[in-house]
Amino acid sequence: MNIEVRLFATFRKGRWKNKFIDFDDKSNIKDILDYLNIEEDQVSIALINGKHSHIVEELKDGDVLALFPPVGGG
Amino acid sequence: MKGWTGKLIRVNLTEKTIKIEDTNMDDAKLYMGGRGLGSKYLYDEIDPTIDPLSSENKLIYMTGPLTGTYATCAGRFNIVTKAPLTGTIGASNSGGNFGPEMKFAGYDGIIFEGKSEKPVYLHINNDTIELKDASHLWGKDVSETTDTLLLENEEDAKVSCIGPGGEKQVLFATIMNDKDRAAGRSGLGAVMGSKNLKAVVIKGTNGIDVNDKFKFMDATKDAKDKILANGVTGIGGGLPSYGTQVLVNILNEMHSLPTHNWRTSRFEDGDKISGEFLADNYLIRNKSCFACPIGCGRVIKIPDGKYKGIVAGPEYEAGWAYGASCGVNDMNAIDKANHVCNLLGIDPITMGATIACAMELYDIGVLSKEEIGGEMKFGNADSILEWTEKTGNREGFGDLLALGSYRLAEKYGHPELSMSVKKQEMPAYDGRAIQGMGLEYATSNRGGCHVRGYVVSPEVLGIPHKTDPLETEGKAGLLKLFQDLTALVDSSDICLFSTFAIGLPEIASMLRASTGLELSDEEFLLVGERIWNLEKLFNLEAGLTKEDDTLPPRLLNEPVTTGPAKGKVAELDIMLEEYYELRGWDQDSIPTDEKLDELSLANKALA
Amino acid sequence: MAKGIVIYPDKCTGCRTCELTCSFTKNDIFNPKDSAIAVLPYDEVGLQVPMTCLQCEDPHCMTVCTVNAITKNEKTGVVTVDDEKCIGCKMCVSACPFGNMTYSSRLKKVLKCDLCKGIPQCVKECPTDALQFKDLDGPLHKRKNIGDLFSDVFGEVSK
Repeated sequence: MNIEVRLFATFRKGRWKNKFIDFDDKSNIKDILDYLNIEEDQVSIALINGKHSHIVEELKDGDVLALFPPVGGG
Repeated sequence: MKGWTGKLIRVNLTEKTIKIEDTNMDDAKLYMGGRGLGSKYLYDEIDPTIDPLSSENKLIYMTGPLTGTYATCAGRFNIVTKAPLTGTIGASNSGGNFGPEMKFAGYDGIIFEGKSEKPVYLHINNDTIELKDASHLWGKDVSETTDTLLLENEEDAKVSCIGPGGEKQVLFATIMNDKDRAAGRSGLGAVMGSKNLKAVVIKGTNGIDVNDKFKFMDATKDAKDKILANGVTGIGGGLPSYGTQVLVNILNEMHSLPTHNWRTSRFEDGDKISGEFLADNYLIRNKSCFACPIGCGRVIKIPDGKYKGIVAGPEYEAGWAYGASCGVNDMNAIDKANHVCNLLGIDPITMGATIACAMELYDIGVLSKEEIGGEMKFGNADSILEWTEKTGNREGFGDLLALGSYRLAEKYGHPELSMSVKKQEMPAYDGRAIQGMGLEYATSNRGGCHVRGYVVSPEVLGIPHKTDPLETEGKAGLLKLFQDLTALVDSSDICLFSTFAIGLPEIASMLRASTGLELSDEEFLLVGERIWNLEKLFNLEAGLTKEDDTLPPRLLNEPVTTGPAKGKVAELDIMLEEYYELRGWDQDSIPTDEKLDELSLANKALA
Repeated sequence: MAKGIVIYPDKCTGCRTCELTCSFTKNDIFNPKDSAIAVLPYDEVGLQVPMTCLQCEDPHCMTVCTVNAITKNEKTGVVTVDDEKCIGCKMCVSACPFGNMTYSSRLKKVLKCDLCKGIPQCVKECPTDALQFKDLDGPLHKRKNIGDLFSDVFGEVSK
């Protein structure tokens, strides 16, 4: 299945902004983090198609995954 | 008692008298300082029904018991007055170095009364206080005014002043401190302008003592360590690395970034107005307010044009207002417009949102090119700069924009297109996709505003723990807690951003050690609740009612069209009912006698 | 080798934690005016520069002191003021070419950095590492420091 992965803030350092990547069916966020070499505890917000999602949530073809480290503002 | 200096300056601008008086310490114990103590003085001393721009209004500068100390992010102070934009109580806080300098000069606060016949400024050097002629400064922008005052007085003094926006009583004029830190919302600068008070220049050389030095250093170092170790606020964290604008991409990915005057909730070019883009292309370095280890302030370069130079960068809400809200994807133009707001002394949130409202009126054909004398199209980068300049100087159609979006839209028969609450524009977070924020805007005591109860923290950022932004259950209780805690933070005077890393226990520890007040954590939180209720009493007496605790029809009736919140509107009624109950107010939003008794408050007018 | 405070203006955010730390450590009070370190803002170039005693090799303050209250420790390089001997004439304040010596009328003494007996507290508390306590690698290091500053200032202006 093809997933668009979008990275933000410090996750972009040494990586990229967004990419379409093929993953095995039923891959979850954790699998994608492993592929990206991002530790689970570095992730503060993970959005699948804009919705806050848990690390074990599975993705489906065409989903957009957005990943953020801890950030705040206001 | 330590923590406070115990002295206030009272200046009557009509009579040209200056008096030093003792701070009311009974009130200080109940309201701390800053927003709380300032509001108590205002509530006691003015009739809430007065015209905010009349000489009967007062303008109160107030520090808190932590201002100027080693406490984390303790560079803040509040300015309190009846606000001209909203007609509510108006308290706005600012960082920088001005607040601490008030304490170093020996004063908890300054109360301005009456109205000067001619432009004046107040000069304070410790015990020497005088009103000086400001005729030569009238008309000058904030930067020029500050530079001139530092040349005329001590070069290391601190300056708080208004620009042309305040002088001309733009209803959302700011009071600017150290050039680029703003007491920004609700139009306090217009009140200062209405009094012909151009500036306050202050220098102090006294120290601030605390009650228990060892406990205080333990408490502050604990708080500082937590801030520096935190993923958001610490070294290399999101806030110091990208500033507040780091939020653009998060809110945009969630489809919660109001776009084109809130018609939609996602901005196609979000990344081009993001903190990441700013850092990659314009950021030179970070700038801190006094005693702040975070340093979220952006020092940026404007590379071209008449504003070329090194200036302060926009905050998230300002960047949003000019960016997504106006459909503008040009960061350079946004930086310039934000800088012009700093120079002219106007609030970029209300300015950007008002231009966005005018753009919608233009788009639906209510405003014409001929009528306004220029372009007003969504996405036009030149427009945001042009109309900001014209509004700050009240030229042409800018004279109408200077009244804010509500009065503008109302004049053209479409008040529903003003995205405001209590006539103040809501910033940057869609209350349909983040339900708690809808309730926050509706109940804020100073109208549309995000920092009176920033439930974005739990709803979006997962701090201190994650809640579902689409859920309404539990949001009333969460919001009440955030509102009360924020009132305490604003009255201690530390920065709200420290609360990404520290909470009530750390703040209460610093307050206990600074002041010697032996209150429990819960009793300190009660201080916050007392302040919230006092503000509410002021607003009720000013004539506001339950009907004002609402949202623009667009949020209540027009569902979000994309993203996880697709089909959702702000479910305000259900949350509001629960909120009033939890607050101990009746369903007309009037605090019950039992609640007021519990908070040692009396309801003067409504009894 | 003598160690000293090395200043990195490019890292300084102007929070003035160093000023508060110094005044509290030395004088038990929060007062930037009673601190031996001060952060100077240069807003037009977006720079904040912390300034404190450079522990000169040939300190003018020591030369002009008529009562020999100022001495330089040969081993550590630290220049210190003996408050007992000091008569408060303020000659040293005038003599310091950098203005790094100040007189506090509140405390009735001169204020000067003594590197806190080898553990400078301002360095310890600086949240951004703009202040560092380092071996001073001969004059080159200091020169490079000032050079960095200039390159910074001119670099930004010409951008």
